[in-house]
Amino acid sequence: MDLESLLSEEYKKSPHGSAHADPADAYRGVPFLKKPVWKNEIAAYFFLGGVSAGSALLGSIAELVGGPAHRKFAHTAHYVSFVTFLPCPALLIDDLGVPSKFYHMLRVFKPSSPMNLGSWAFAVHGAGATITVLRMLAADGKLPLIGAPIAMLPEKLLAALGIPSSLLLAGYTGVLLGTTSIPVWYTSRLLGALFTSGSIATGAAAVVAAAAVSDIEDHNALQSVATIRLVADVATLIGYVAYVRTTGAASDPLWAGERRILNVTSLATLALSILGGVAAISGRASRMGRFLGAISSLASGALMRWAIVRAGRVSAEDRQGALHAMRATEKRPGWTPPA
Amino acid sequence: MKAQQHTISDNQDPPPPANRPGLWQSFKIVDAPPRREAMGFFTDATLCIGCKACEVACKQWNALPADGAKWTGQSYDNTTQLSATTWRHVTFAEHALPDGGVRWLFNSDVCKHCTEAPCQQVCPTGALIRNEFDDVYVQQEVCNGCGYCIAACPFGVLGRSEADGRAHKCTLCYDRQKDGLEPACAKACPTDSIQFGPVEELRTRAAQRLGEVRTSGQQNAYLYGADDAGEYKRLNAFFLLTERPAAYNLPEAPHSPIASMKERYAWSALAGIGLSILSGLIFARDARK
Repeated sequence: MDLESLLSEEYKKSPHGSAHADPADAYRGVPFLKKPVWKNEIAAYFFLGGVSAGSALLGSIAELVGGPAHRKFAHTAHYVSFVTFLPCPALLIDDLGVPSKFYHMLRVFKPSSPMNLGSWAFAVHGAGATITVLRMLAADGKLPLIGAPIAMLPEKLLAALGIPSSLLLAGYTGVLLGTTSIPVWYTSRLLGALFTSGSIATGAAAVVAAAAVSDIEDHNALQSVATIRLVADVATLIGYVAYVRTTGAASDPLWAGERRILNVTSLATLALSILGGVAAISGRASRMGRFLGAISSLASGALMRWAIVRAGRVSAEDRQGALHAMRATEKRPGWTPPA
Repeated sequence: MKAQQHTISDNQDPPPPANRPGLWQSFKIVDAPPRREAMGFFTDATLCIGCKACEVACKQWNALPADGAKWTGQSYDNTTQLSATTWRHVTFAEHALPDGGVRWLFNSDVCKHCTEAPCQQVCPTGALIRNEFDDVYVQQEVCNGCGYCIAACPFGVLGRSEADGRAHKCTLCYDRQKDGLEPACAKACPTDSIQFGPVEELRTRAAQRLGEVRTSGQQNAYLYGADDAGEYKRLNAFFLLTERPAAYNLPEAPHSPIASMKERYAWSALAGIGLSILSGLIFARDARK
C-alpha cells in the first residue's frame, strides 16, 4: 500500500510541523468560523428583490404625490416590481437545505431574526405587487370576469399600504448579513443602508430601462426620474465608501481575487450611471443614453451584492482576521488568561 | 419567543412517526414542557488526556457518521473542528518548548449553549429553541436548512449536513437528559475533564478548581465563558483553560451579532426614508406639467 498517497495536502505541506513556539499558532491553518452556505442564488435574490422593492417604493410614492404627470411612470414601476419579484421565491427556495420546508419561514413571527422579518416583508410585498398589477389590469379592462371588484380597490390606499414592506425589503438583506459573526459583514453598521440606497437606485434604473426599450416612455416624468436616479446613485456611492471605511481591516476580502474585479467594475459602472444621470438632468441624454445609464446602475448593483456575498466566505476562512475582529478590548473584555 | 414547538416527548408518550409532518403540524404550537434547572458542561482542559472517548461516545449515541479517515497534519486531530457530524472535538495543540521538548494542550470543545445564543436569536423558523434544561436545541423536523445559524455562531459550531440539508449541533443529549442520564461524552470521559450538572453548581465547582490549579502553579489558568463578558453573555458550557483562547481555536471576545441589529435597522431606515422623502419632493415638484 502506498502510504504516501494517504497523506492529505495539508500534511505534506508541514510534516511533523504542527508544534509551534506560540501555542496560539497551533491551529493557524484551521478557521474557527464556518463558511456561510449562501451561494450565488442569494446574491441574485438580493439584487432582484432590491430592484422589486425599490421600483414598488418609487411607484407608490409617485402615485401618492406625483399627480397625473407621473401616472404612467407609477404603472410601469409596478409592472417592473412584479416582474422582478417573480424569480425571487425560486432563488430563495433553491438555496435552502430542505427546499420542501420553505414555508417554515412564516411558521412564527420573530423580529429578532432579520431573515424571519424579511420573509414577512417579502410575502407582504409579493402579495401587494400582485394585487397592484391585477388592479391595473382590471382598470384597463384586461381582466375579464373577476376584473370588476378588483378595479374598485382604491389605488392610493394600496400604494400607501405597500410602502412599509417595500422599505423593509429594500434594506433587511444588508441587516441580515450584518447580524452574523462574519467580520466583513458584521463590522460596519451601514450594510443595510447601502443595500437600501442601492435598491432605490436600481429600482429607478430598472423602470427607466424598461420604459426606454418599450413604447411607454413617459416624457412627463423624464426629468423627475432622472433626478431621483442621480440622488440615489450618489447615496449608494456614499454608502459604499462609508461601508468600506467603517469595516476597516476586515474589508480586505472585498479587494482580493475575483472580488476585486467585481468591486472595481461595480464602482466604474456606478460612475458611468452618475455621469449618465447628470446628462439626463440637463436634458442632453438620448433615449439610448438614458437606457445605457440605467443599465450601468443595474450592473453596478448586481456586481456589488455578488462581491459582498462572496467576500463573506473568504472573511470566515481568514482565521487571523476573525481572531483580530474578536480580540479582547476594554469594552469587550471577553475571556482571557490573567495578565 | 412564545412560539415554541417540542416534539420529542416523554417515554410515556412516544412521538408519532414524523418522517414527513404535514403542512398543518408545522404550524401547530405545542405547550412547552415546564422549565427545569439549567444544565450544562464544565470542561476542564487541564484534566483532558486527548483520548477522544467523548468524540466516540457522542458519535455512537447520536448515530453520527464518521468523517472519513484522513491525515490532517494537525497533530493527532483528524476532525479538526466541530461540524454537523462532530459535536465533541478534542483540540490537539502542540506547543514547542524552548528546551526542544513538545507539550500537548488538549481541550474537548463542544457547543457552548450560550445563555444568549446568536443561532437561536436569528433562526427564522423557530427550529432553534431553548429547551426546558436551558440548552440550545435544533428541532430537526422544523429546520429548513436556511444556514443563518451557521453564519451567526461566533464559534463555528453549527454545520449544514450534506445528507439531509439541515443544521446540526450538540443537543446536550436532550434525549438522555429527559431520562435523567448524563450526556454520553460526560459519561465516557475517564478523567472527569467533562463534567455535567446544574450550571450554578458547575460554576461553583469551576471556581474552586480554578483556585486549586492556580495554587498548584498554573498561574495562567482561567475560566472561559463562566461569566458575562461585556455584550456576550455567559455560556452554559464553559471551560477551564491555561493558554490564550486562540491556542484552542476559540475567539477571545465574540461579538453578539444581535446587539447592533437595531442600529443597523436605524441606518437602513434613515437611508430609505430619507430617499423616499427626497423622491416625494421631486415628484411633487414636477407634478403639474
